[in-house]
Amino acid sequence: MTARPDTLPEETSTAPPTSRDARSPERRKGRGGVHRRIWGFVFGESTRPAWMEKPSYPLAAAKTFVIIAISISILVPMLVVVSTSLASGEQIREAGGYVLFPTDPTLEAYTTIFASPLVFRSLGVSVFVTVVGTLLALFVTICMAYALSRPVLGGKFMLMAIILTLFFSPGLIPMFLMIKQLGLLNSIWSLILPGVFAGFNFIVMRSFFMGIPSELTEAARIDGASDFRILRTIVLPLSKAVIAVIGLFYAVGFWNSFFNAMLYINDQSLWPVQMILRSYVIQGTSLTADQLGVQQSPPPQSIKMAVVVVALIPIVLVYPFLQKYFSKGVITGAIKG
Amino acid sequence: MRYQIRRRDLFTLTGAAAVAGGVAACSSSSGSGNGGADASASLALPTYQALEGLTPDLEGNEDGLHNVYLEAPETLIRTTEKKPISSGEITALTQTFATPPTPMDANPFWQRLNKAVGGTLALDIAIDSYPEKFATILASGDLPDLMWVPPNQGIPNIGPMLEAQFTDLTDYVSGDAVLDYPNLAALTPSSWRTAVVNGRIWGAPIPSTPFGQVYLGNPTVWEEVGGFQSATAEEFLEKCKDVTIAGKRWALEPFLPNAFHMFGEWFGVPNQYRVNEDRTLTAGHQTDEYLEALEYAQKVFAAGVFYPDLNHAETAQDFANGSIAAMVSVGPRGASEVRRDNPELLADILVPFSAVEGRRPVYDMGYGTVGFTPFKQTDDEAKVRELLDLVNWLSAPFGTTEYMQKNYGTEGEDYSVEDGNYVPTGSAEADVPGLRSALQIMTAGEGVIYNPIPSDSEYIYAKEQELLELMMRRPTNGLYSDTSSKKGTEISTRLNDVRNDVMQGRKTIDDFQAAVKEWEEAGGKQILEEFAEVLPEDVPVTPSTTL
Amino acid sequence: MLVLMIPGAIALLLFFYVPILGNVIAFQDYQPYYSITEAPFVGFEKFLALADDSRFLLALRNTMVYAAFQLVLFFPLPILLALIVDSVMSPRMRKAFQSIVYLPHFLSWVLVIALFQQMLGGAGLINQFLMRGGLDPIPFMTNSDSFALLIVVEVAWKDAGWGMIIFLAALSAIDQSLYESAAADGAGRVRRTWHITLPGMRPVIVLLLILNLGSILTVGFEQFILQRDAVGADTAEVLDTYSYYTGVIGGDWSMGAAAGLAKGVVGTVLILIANKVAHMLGEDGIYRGRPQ
Repeated sequence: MTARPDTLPEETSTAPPTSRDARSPERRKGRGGVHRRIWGFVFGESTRPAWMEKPSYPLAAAKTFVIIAISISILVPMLVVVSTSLASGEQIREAGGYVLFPTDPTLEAYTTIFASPLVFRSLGVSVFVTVVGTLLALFVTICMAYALSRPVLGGKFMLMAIILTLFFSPGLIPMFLMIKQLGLLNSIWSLILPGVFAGFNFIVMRSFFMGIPSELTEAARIDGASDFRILRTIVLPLSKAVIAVIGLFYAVGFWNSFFNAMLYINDQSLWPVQMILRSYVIQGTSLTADQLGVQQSPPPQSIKMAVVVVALIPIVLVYPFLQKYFSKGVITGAIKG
Repeated sequence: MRYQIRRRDLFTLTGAAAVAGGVAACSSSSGSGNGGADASASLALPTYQALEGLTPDLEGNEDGLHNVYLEAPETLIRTTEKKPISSGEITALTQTFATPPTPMDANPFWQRLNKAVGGTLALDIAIDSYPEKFATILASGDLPDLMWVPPNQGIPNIGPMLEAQFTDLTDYVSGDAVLDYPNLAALTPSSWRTAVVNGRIWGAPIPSTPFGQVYLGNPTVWEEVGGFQSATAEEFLEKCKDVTIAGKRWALEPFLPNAFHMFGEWFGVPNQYRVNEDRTLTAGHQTDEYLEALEYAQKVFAAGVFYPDLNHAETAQDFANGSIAAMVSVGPRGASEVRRDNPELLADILVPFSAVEGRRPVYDMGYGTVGFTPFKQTDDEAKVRELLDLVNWLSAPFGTTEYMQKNYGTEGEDYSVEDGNYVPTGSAEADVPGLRSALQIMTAGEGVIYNPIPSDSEYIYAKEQELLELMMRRPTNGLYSDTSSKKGTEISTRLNDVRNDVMQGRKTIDDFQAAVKEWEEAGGKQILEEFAEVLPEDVPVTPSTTL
Repeated sequence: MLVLMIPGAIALLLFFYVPILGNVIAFQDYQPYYSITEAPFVGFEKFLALADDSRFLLALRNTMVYAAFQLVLFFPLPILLALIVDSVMSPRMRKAFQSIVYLPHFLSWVLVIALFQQMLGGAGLINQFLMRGGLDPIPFMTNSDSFALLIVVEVAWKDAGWGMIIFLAALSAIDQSLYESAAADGAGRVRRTWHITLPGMRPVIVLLLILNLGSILTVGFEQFILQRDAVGADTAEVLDTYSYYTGVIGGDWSMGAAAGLAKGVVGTVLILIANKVAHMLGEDGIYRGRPQ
């Protein structure tokens, strides 16, 4: 195992500078002390490997522009959501539903939704479903993906059987009957078990497993290691990135799902937070109510947006913890050492 | 029943493939077979008997005019003697149109309600996707005691479904039998008619309001052009143009089907069907008036007076701040409900007027109920009686102790009375509305007008009287057609899609007429015939559209 | 080895293969109020009815058009985004940018479309700006002719950042020493991307491309049903909305199931063909292992 390229000390400058580098004014300026230290303080130390040239001005400018444009196009609407959740009813009314900056921010919407135990509980349910579901799903998927990444009896058949799941769906009613047969109606497990194996995730995971150089596993096999041991000591440590990704896919899938809860759960104390979110966000837009002639009383816009924020925060917080697994070179940098 | 016949034909064709259970299902549902029409004629609706002891400030009438309470009544009457639930727990499937309530174990309002009814009300409360939920539970065969059935909301083939899975309540409530249940007897015959399918009664109806949609106007905006009320369609359009300020203010909310409904009233489009002299029916969209209204709607749309985003969800806010000047409300009662978004605002109610000189405008009364709530199939009379007791208890109208317990809770715990108004206290804001909505959608008494501000109620009451002078009821209320139940939603959705495209100028009136032909071919003609066949004699011939 | 397959096999059996038998209702005249075993068998009647329904054919055509647009215009975006993120050298900025582009995936379609309207709608920010300047508003969101583009822009905003993650993972698997030696050989930035990065990502790109081809008949449901009023039903009708209106709302569950089955068969056939083509081009595709 060697040092990972992304931890190389900055600018040790052992690589031969290319001619383009030498021409770059950015490079010369960049070497200056204060400027660089401030830059480094704001954005963290650059991890540009020594051999890599500094980007040319037009390229860097174009890239910066794209990054800023994309960020603004996302952050402004997000700001609108957060601001609206903090705005007063009067301001929202004057603005016609959404505000960019709250004139006198208030946490009233948040205190209102947390006044009911419903939201707290639903967050608990969602966290449980997401954590347990993701762990189970990863276990099931890793086992299957590893087994089928090796030549195995009936492997091709199994693979086909899994591919079919991508394009056919069992339909609402038969699924409901199955859940009922298994005694899972109105149980938190009805939110977990149907989601523990996703064909797409399996295929991605298997394709990554197959990318692991076979000489590594073969060597271990010759040393007499069991399949399970190879999985644990060689395959898994080399697959952190894909496990992080697939884990994230599952986690987000569990976190975002509400339809199963809608069908299988009738006790509100087992509702996940997405059910609450949905019930708030669709209020006032339900055509059913309109056709029935039911006067709806949708909750204030600030409360709707507050629920959106509350349902968003936990899953968004997860991401930074997974990011480190996507750092470059984690895998092969380690293997080739 | 064409459907039944076809099914049986197939059974003979496929012969041995017919599973034993299939035969059973078939025979059990063919009991009332083709007899929908005959049975309807001989059915005695429950005897109407108003509750005694209610003291509204302004009296309603049989046409549907609401009773008005200007202030919270000082004394409440009690309509039941015993607690209705005797078996411990009753389960029900329902939907809430408010934010979901606190779960039962943490909801003191719910717990107190349970105590008052003598058992647990175990509700499965849907927030959305009711048709899916309904169908899956139905398919599982494991039904709750009560299941709300909304009208025309994706619950098709209702006749055979009811016969296969629910209890026929005719013997329990038909005629004077209903008098055992005073709150059910106080439901009007026109409400009860919506709970009749194939000549049998399947549940207690759930009255909403007998009134139909109205246009509401923001008075401060329309003041600028001399008021909301107009004399002709042309004048209305001119006013709309005048109040519209490009990019800033729009005359009309963008929900086109409702706007078209309003325009249609001014042109004299019949309320869904016209009853001809020879007792045949013509659908509204088959009339010339409909085409006139469509042409007008096209013009209004082209004038740019509709808010430009058609799936706008914030209409209420925009109406309250005056950037949308008019919106359609489900009924006159909506006029005071806009105060929720702007306490200063009482909306103007537009009374339909002659679109062109000499035209008789109409005001369409609504369906009147949000459906009915049938009982799970059982032969156990005691169980049926218990459920009827419960539904009777839950159907108590405003002004009764039962109503207050169900809608507001216990005085001193969930609400208090201040200046003649009910004010929620404690955790009631979180506990009550979602549960109230879920209960009101499956059981209710006839509605009343009651507002925190008494003058609002007086205004609405006065407008209701004006509207009633133009009123037209749907001739087919409470009638049942197999084809309509099986295909009606689908083919009318297709037709309405075309209509919306025509309004927006994407298609022409000719396209619409072609779509009407398609509608006729795809089952429309049959729907008209089936309804005409069962049309009761007391449904009047629709008056001519000229004054 | 076989033991490892057991948990997955059980999950497949319980939550896919047994309930999928329920699709037999596509060959029946099924109603939810009696059991599947009681429903009369009608053979291929429902499929023939589908082929005969102009609405279904319209939905089919629309679906394929939108899917094609997404495949061509949307599919490359997450890859580009991953390359951009990968090229950002400051770790803090890289992390921040990743976290930002990932956010919109968590907003529901209802909210995404509401937010789009705030910006692009007839009364949205841009058009208000135009109108104040005396210009005509542009109907970004109600023009049925440009709806396919609108769909792609919405999907891109919502999901490009999310789709990027898998490519980032693929990038992380590329051997960094390859870059170093290429740079030492004088290969510039563009050539390194072309000769190292893209080939390194190729298996994943091909894999996702094939999976996307297979799901060409699925373009989403909520996004379309929510914008149905704005652009007209003829424009917004796709297979999933069709199934919903006939199956759930129209009560013809058998017809809905038939539409689903037809869709599944097409998807499977497409993916098998795409996979075959990939093999012929020397790619792994989705189910052939790399030669050991």
